[in-house]
Amino acid sequence: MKKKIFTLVTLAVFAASSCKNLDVNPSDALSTGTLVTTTDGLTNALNGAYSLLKDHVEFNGSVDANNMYLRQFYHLSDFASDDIVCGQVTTDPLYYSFSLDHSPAQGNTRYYWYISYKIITGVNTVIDAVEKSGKTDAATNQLLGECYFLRAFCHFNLVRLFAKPYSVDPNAPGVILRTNLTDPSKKARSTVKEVYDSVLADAEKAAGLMTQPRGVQYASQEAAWSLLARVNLYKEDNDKAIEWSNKVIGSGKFTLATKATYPALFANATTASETIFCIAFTTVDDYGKFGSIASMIYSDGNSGWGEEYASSSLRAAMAPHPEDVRWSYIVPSKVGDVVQKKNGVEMYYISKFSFQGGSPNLSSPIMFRLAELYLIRAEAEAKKGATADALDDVDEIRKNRGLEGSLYNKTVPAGTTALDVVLLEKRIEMAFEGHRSYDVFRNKKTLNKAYWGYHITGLKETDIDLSKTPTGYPNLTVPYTNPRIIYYIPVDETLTNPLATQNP
Amino acid sequence: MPKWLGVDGQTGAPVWEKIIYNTQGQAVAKERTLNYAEATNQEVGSALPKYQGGFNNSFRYKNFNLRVSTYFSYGNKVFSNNLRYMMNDGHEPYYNQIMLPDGAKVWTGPGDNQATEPSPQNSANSTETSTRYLKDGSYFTIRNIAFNYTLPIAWAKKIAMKGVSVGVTADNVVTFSNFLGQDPQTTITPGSFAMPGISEFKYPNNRQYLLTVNFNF
Repeated sequence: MKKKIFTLVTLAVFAASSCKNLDVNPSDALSTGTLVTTTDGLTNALNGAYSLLKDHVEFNGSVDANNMYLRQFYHLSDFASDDIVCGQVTTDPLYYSFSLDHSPAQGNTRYYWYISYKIITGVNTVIDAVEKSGKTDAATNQLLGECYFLRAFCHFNLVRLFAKPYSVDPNAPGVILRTNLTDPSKKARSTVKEVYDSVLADAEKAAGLMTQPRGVQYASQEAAWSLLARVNLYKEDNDKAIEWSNKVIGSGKFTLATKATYPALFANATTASETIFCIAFTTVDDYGKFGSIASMIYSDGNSGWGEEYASSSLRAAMAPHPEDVRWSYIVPSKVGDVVQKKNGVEMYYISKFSFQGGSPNLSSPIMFRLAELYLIRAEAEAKKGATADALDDVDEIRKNRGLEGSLYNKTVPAGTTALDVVLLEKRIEMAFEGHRSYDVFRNKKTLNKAYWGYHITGLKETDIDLSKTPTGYPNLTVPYTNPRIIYYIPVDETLTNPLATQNP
Repeated sequence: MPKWLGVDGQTGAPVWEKIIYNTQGQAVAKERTLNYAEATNQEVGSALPKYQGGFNNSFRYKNFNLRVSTYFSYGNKVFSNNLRYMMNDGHEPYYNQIMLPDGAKVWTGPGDNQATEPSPQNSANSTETSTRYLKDGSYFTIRNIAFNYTLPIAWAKKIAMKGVSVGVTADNVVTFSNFLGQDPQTTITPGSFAMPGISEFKYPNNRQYLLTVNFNF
């Protein structure tokens, strides 16, 4: 017996001492813990998270040029709106945003979900390591703030796409919140309200930490304020939305592009006076026809697929003002004076994501710019009944868009409301930038898609008569109560995480 | 993947199988659904063959020698990603389409219960992953045939050789399969742009003929 105990004790001592030696750091590689102890390492880890917004990351065993965070970001929202019309059916799942034939297995939402949480997990890792390291210098705090910003930004974009609008039902299932590294992977969806609370907390924390801006291609204090203004507007906390908008507008760091500079704003996003935060693309990120954002909506002949166009609905909204410089981003494909048609749909290309360095497929998409803050403030003011203030903000935009002769001057036109005026202005100003469908549905309005295009399933070219408005087809209007204003939770999540409930 | 149940006779829309579960999570019933989002993911076969093997035959008659090597694989399923594009019900109007196989019929009008392919006007999600494009991957192939003739030793001696043989060989001669597509042969190990059990756009193994002359000295 004694001998046995002795053996056990010896073994235990032996085991204890050998375990310690097993924990050896690799000599030729960096672990997360050591990587983030230097500012360079920390910066690289964080820049990796930014690059996931524009890279084509391997998903499900292959690299697909169609899979890019930003491509999906714009397609999933704007292709569901009434600003863009579909000129051709396709097997690319982007088509389901038009036809509303969503499924949990559609490739674009699956990638978007995957890559969003990859970014979130990446910044969570950095946050965890920085907080463990105890570093609190201003440079480190800036980077830490950017991490919190990205986490808030990604969670918010997810909750917009996969959950009901806050204004419709704050207690509806939201998305899965990933705010630490310790939660089990099987986790239920938080409510929309809980997600918004977390996003607001992260963004406020981010705003407080970021004091050393690294340029508009990175998150900054003003970017966090802008996010706070946007989120509060969606939440209909109008006072807060105004407060945060004021901070950005009052910072003095940005000025509205003018009638003269607006047409070149999007091709020069990184240096434009309006840009608060953009995702910088360089010539090596010029993905051409097969993977760029511009490819689906613009083509100079063969540069892109060019299958989706500015809708007749948007063009009708802009028609009263041909002098509006915002027309410069709607480029009709003409032979002589005749606008060409694709499968019966008029081809009005969209050039907001083109012409950086002259390339038809290159741009640095703007996530926040000053004009949106004026419009956020205007919408919040309109909802609070401060009509004159709201119209002043709208006029501030119009003055700089070639409409100085058509200002509202504090008077709401007969037959409309201040809110309608603001939403119309926002529709035209922020067109194709991933706002319109959310703006319609969170304001509990009905999307009117009664125009010719292949969102009408089963449409034949011979059915199209551009002199008439289509009637009698399904999908022509989408009320905010339609369950298909949001997407299904992707199948990858629901299969591996049974706690995640599916959308109806 | 969801099970494809063909075409709805009245509307020409694609139909999938939906399994109804009770509160204990047991499957209690099956029903047809026209909504792909409701179709149930099911196990529908394996990418791994049940049997595989080959025969090598060698025949010799006088100076003639014939060798035939064959290979077979049986019982695996192959998902044809090609067909998603090449049999797409008008979802990609500018892509080339295959000639429909025998027995396939596109829906023509209400009451067409013989149709196997949906109406191009009503084919939402018809090209999404389902057993529609999952095919039997069994095949039997003749990999190689070699036919040789050894010249009489007396002839070889005349040109100071110990032996001379001439012959022809053929590689990848023929594949017998019910698979719809160019080639049922897929990989079972994942690699770059290669997924197990999935037939992608690629050229099939080429057939080649070789004329051989063999000198021994």
